[in-house]
Amino acid sequence: MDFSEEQIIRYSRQIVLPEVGGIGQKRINEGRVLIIGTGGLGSPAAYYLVAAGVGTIGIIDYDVVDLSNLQRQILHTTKDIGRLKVDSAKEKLIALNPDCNIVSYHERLTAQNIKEIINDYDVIVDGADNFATRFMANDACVMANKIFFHGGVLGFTGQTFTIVPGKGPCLRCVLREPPPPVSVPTCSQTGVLGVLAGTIGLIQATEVLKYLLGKGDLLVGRLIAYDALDMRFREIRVKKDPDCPVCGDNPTITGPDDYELAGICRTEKERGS
Amino acid sequence: MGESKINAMLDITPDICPVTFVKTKLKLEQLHKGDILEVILNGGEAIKNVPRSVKGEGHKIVMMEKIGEKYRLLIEKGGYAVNIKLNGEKELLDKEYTVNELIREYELSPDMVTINLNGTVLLRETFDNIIIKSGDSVDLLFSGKDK
Repeated sequence: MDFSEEQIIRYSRQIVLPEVGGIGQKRINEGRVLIIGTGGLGSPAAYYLVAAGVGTIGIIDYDVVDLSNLQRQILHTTKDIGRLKVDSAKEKLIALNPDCNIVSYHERLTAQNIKEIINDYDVIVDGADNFATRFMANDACVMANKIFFHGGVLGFTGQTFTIVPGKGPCLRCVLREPPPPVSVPTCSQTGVLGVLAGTIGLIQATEVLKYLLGKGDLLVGRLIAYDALDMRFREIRVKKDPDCPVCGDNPTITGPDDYELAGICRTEKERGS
Repeated sequence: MGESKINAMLDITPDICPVTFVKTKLKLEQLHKGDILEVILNGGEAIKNVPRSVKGEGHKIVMMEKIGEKYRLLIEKGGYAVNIKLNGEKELLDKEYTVNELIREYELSPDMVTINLNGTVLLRETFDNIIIKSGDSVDLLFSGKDK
């Protein structure tokens, strides 16, 4: 357990914690985390995980930085407009902590590539900006037995819970399938107060660190519903459903599917990002 | 005075809080229970805080002496401190107990209790095999099976 002088100082405020110490810091340094999206949720999650010293962070995003992203996607700045989000993100993350290995994927997550990509990581953070990707990631994580940290925000509300395959419910136990396109909010309904993405993204990052440390209780079987206007966190008990099509006793979904991606409209895609 | 055998040495005089304690803590992690660590540290903040923090993590200060402007500290590594949540309250154990040992530690009989470990109710047959680790949340419930 040898840390450089610089590492000892950099991580001193967390090594002092009884729950962390040198052993815990080593576990963080050896962690491999994939973050789907470098948008509203992915930005704060990636930034703090890199700050904490997570050794390898994968970031996947096919998009470019748009002016309308900057209100919440804190890894990107005004001068990054038009750049690939993964390039802009990688630059900021390496500047924050050169210890971390940032692996960037400038591509869309699809049924064809998801299995191979997630295979390289211990855990996966949901920062997807659409339901199709989110459900596909949930399914692929359950099948590959990978932990998936779900998060989503809209308006003044957000939700998050942690999916540990075999231990608690998955996204499909709670929300059987992606909502039909007609029920997806229109342009005027897809607003989000930027800070909401920060709050939820950082709960996801907190869960990742707890998992890497092996400390505390994860949000398994408990969904946190955050209402910023009321400033209330409600904890909703959610159960593993034996009839779940992906993690139930007789699963009907046996491979990742992205058929729904084709029909995504821009407004829907922006949702939750 | 007969001095204990010193297993490792550390000079933290160039460092400031919290790195002083962090380095001491990292060094102690590499030692075994009962080993002695010699630490050279400054007066002021360091001598005020480091011994206190070291004791807080379950180690023992065997000796402290002033050498000119500096201090010399001998620390005996204590048992691995295990932090758990017991029925919702923080509890510090001196070692990793099996479930059975923990129950007996509280002078209870394994037949009389139900154990909920991190949200899962344990089968009584597993009490001897499951070890309570730091960070675990344990609920000790009485099943009320009077005999």
